[in-house]
Amino acid sequence: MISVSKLLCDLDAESDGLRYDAAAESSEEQITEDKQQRPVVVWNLTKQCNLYCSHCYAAADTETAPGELSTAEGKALLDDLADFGIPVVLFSGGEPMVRDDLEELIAYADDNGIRPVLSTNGTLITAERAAAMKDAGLKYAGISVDGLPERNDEFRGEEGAFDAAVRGIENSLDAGLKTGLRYTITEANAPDLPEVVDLLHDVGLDRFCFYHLDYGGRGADISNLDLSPADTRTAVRTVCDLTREYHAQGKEIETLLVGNYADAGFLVEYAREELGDQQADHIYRYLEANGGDPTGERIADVDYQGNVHMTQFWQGYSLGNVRDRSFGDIWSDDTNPLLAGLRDRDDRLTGRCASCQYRSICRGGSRLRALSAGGPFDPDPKCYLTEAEREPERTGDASAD
Amino acid sequence: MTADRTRVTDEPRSATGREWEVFVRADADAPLKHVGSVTAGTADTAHEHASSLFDWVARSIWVCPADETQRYTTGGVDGGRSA
Ligand code: SF4
Repeated sequence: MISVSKLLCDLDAESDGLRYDAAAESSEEQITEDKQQRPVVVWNLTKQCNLYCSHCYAAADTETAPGELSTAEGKALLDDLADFGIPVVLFSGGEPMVRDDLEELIAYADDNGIRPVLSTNGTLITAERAAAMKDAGLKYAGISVDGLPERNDEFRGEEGAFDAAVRGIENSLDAGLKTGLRYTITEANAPDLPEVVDLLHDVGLDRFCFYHLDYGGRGADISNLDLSPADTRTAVRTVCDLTREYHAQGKEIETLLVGNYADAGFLVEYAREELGDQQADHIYRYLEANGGDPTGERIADVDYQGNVHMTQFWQGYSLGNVRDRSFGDIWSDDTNPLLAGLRDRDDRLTGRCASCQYRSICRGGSRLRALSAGGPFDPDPKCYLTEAEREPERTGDASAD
Repeated sequence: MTADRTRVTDEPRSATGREWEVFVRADADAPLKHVGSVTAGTADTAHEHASSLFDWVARSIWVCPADETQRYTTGGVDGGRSA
């Protein structure tokens, strides 16, 4: 997760080297060294959902699937996560709000010193539930909207889903919950992006997270809807430009990019072009401290059946199950060669990543998409940087020949 | 005498396919090591999936259906509900 607004609009020289943004959905930065070493844990509370979105990484269903962790097991998991020093738990799904013990689990996490945040389609956030979640200790709600009304409803498989999500956003804001947008960028909805930001800013939102499509769950079936490299550049540039325009007008929106660390290299290039070398170098150092693609390190996932995954999108492979073994033991088990290899991947990356000047701030991009292209250390097929950007010396030499 | 283990509940481990426990052996004389599980419809696709993850380190790969593998543990969160 890369905070565009922070890097382009209010990067403070004093904070150089400060690691930020351990919390995938948290609005507050996590700055304690100790907590930095632990991942944010996404917990898919249920596979059930009231919608049927075409890009759902969890391949959620309208029916409850068997094997969900019970309330008691969920609390035992939260105890386990607290003991291990997990800073943030992101309740996700399916649609987490279909579980009627959600508020109980939020309160339990909060009481145990874990920051509870929520990822939801927003359509079930009534005024009462928003207030109940706020009372339980919820710190942030990320609500998904994926395009202007017609496009969003088509994506989400239900007419009226857009309006229902907007009502959810309003209820959440009215309850005093910090609330933000989640927007998964695809070929179909990329052109809607600026208008959606305008529309939801008018509703009162000031935090916008843009997700690149990852290839898990039903997302894999629509990988052909993913943007081309050229269109990805345009979309990311749009996010950068609109962030700066808003800030120039005194509207301090927060914008973030998630799911493709080629964005890190792009941001440095963008800053060099638009803001000068000094700012670009500063941004580079900041991103270096941030640590690049977080797979297996700064993000973890526990699914509704207790399987532990290296990211929330990578559900087809599990490191272990919390019904057998504690989360901390599973996550610390460096005898798993894949987990250890991904944590120490810099010299294992192959192809264009091996010689890329942005390798240390990107770390090869999405490991799940890399797998779709071959193996766990292959380049992310959705890297959109040009060869001249990745290897200026080599292309410089070539042009000199 | 057995240690104080409980049998882990027989809850399903996947709703999109069958779950397969994966074991790899790095060298001929190395121990067989459990390295997690994959979701796949058949043993062959499970093997294919495991290969894409572990070929770089594995000489042999075993895949065992998780629903045929009874686990007995002293840790875990379910407290041996189905024991
Ligand atoms: S070439 Fe690889 S390391 Fe470089 S920006 Fe692209 S994905 Fe990242």
